[in-house]
Amino acid sequence: MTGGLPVVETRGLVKTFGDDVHACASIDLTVRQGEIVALLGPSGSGKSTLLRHLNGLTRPDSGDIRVLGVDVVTAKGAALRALRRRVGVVFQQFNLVGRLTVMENVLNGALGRVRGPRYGIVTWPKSVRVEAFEHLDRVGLADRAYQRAGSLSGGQQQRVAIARALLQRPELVLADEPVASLDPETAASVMDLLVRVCREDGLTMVCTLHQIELALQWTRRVVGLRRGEVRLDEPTGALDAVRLRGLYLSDPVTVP
Amino acid sequence: MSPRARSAAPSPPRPAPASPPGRGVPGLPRVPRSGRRMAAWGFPLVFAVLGVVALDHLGVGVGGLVAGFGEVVALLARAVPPTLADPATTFAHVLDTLWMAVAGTALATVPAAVLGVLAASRIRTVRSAALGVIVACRAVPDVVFAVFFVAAIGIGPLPGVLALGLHSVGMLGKLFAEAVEQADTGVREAVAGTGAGPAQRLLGGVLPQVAPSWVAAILYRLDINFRGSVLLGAVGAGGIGLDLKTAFGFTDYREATGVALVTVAVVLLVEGVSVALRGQLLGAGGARAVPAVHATRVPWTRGRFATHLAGWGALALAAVAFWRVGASPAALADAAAGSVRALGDFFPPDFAPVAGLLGGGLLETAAIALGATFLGTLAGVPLGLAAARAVAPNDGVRLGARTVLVGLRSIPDLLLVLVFVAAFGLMDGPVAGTLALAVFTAALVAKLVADDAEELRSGPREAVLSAGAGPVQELTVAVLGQLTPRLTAITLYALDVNLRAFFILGIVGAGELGYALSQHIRALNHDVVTAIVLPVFVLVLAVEAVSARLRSVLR
Repeated sequence: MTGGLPVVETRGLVKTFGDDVHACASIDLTVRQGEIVALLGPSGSGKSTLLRHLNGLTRPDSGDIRVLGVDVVTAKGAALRALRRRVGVVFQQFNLVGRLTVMENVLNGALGRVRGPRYGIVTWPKSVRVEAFEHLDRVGLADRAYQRAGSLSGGQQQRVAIARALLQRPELVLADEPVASLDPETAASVMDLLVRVCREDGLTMVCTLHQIELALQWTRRVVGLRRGEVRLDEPTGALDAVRLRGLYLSDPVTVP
Repeated sequence: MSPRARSAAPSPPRPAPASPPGRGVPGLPRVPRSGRRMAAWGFPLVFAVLGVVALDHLGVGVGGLVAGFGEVVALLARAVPPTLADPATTFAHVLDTLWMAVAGTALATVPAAVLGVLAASRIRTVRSAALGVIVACRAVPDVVFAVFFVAAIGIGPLPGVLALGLHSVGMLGKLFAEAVEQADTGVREAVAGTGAGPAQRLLGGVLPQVAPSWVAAILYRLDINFRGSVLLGAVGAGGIGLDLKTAFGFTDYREATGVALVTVAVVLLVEGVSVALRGQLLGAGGARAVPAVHATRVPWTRGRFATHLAGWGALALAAVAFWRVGASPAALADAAAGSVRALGDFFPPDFAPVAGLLGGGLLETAAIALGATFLGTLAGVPLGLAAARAVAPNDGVRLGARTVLVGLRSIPDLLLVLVFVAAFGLMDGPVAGTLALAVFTAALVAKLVADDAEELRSGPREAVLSAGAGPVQELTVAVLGQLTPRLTAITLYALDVNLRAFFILGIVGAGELGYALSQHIRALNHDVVTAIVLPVFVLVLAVEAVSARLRSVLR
């Protein structure tokens, strides 16, 4: 898929933690509109760090990042918030407020487009509430709207988080290990939901995964990271599990 | 440098244990010396030695202790059966005291919330400034604030309310800030990721998470403030504290017992309500699915109804309390103006009249605090462990310990001091003060130890039990092993509380410095009052500094 406009563009992205942890070592990545891309790699390969740069939750040491035409590196304040509104994020730990209702958690997705703080469902305009409810229906949890989010199962909580992201009306979806906390069966159904809504709405998605099978099954392009570098970037069709496993093999031991 | 495994490895052969890099020497590596280990062993030793020295300095011996408790028992014998000369007035005064506590707590909530959020800010200067205000409010005891406000606007409930409010800002602000810091950052990121602004992030990502712990903190503070407002009665705020002090002043012990029993009953009631509500708040929520009949109309579930009832009820209660204590905006403005004027009376301090007794008085104050903390901790730790479900050998022991604990806790500190001073006489004020504070400390330490012991992780205990440990081994390894840093922190906290209790001793005139303080308060020599309070205050801050350092080492 090369025809679409670039949605994500990073050039020479470098991020170091402390003195010697090179989370991103000069990463160049372009993702075009409508693409569904998996970032694959072992723990510590820098995939989550890369993802967090794309909506400004983490700032790079050097390099350029353009997302949806906005320079993320220099954006701050209102400009950064405006960009974040257009980028939906799905987290590994769901990041719901457990003691609030499912509905209130979904409504938080609309914070970027209303003015002023909100507390409680009735402080939201009815139109937003209706829209939130539609998204809940879409993820199959309409009947749970007024239940405490913390009382749902992991898979259900992630569906709520997806509904929250959808309420942002995002153009780009960033998913950080969205199914790593779930059992295999639930993981498959959540991946299915995530990919389906992105296809249906024509959204671009960048998704970090650490399970090769999920990447092969659900995405069209795999970017393999290792030690903060892009080691592989190919359409899913050209790949197989054996080649991908190379990403995870330990390096030859180099004892000083 | 070949790794040499212990040659006596039994069959079947195991992989050789890796030797530490850089050293081929087999055998046990030495335990490295660290500040942490020094503190862990040094603190209890130094504390015990200081405690014994302090008790010796004060002349508290085993014989004296026995005789003293004999005096207390004799006093109690003269205090039964209790009487209430004028029950209607007593109950009205209890209610006055309660309103004072509610108004003081409500007054503290808003500034504490603002300061709490600011103190958890990521901007260094903002955080330091907010923390500075919080620490200052906490450091000055409410009694000192009360003396100041009485000087500023005269006697009555309002100075008591202002004193409680200002002092409460310290604790509430600190607890609020801690809750914000502990809030799940993931949720904050998720809310930030939607493009929310700062106020939206606060209300959408932080407040819902911290709300239960904030409300719990407010309820806890209300509980404390009720005890505190009893004390403030004795310095001119009126209410039940004044009745107590008057009854003891006239040596009408049967009346004193009557008033004390009413007070203790209300303390227990307030605590009971506070604990029950906090339990509700922090407990798990309903997991029932609520059928969404009307898509966007929020159904009135029991939880939602309860939340609204509690919220609006609390606001109404605060409004009534403000009305009862006369805290109108105009009165508050007057109080502010009066406070500015009163500052001139208190500053600069006049050290001349007390120059001779400051040195000895401070030493005595420190000795009372150390001795009381030492005795109280000795009694409080076993009591607290016995009261914890996770440690107590059986339910009988646990319930017995719980009962003793709750009974001791419910006695206001002022009452304890009054009883012991009445039994020993003012001449033996330091000994009476030490013993009264020791009882108070035992209750405080036992409560904190019991709370901590309840929260112990069961994993290590199960692991130790699975290894075939007996109950005593389990106690030392799995319970005390986990609790040691907390015990140190609790002891230091008790010491801190006991140093501040100097001001309570002062109100009844116990101890050299306390007696001078009560005389100068009565004579309105406010600049001398400052001269006595400031050095004690410096002592308190010094203990706080040591405590903070030790806790960070032991963490």
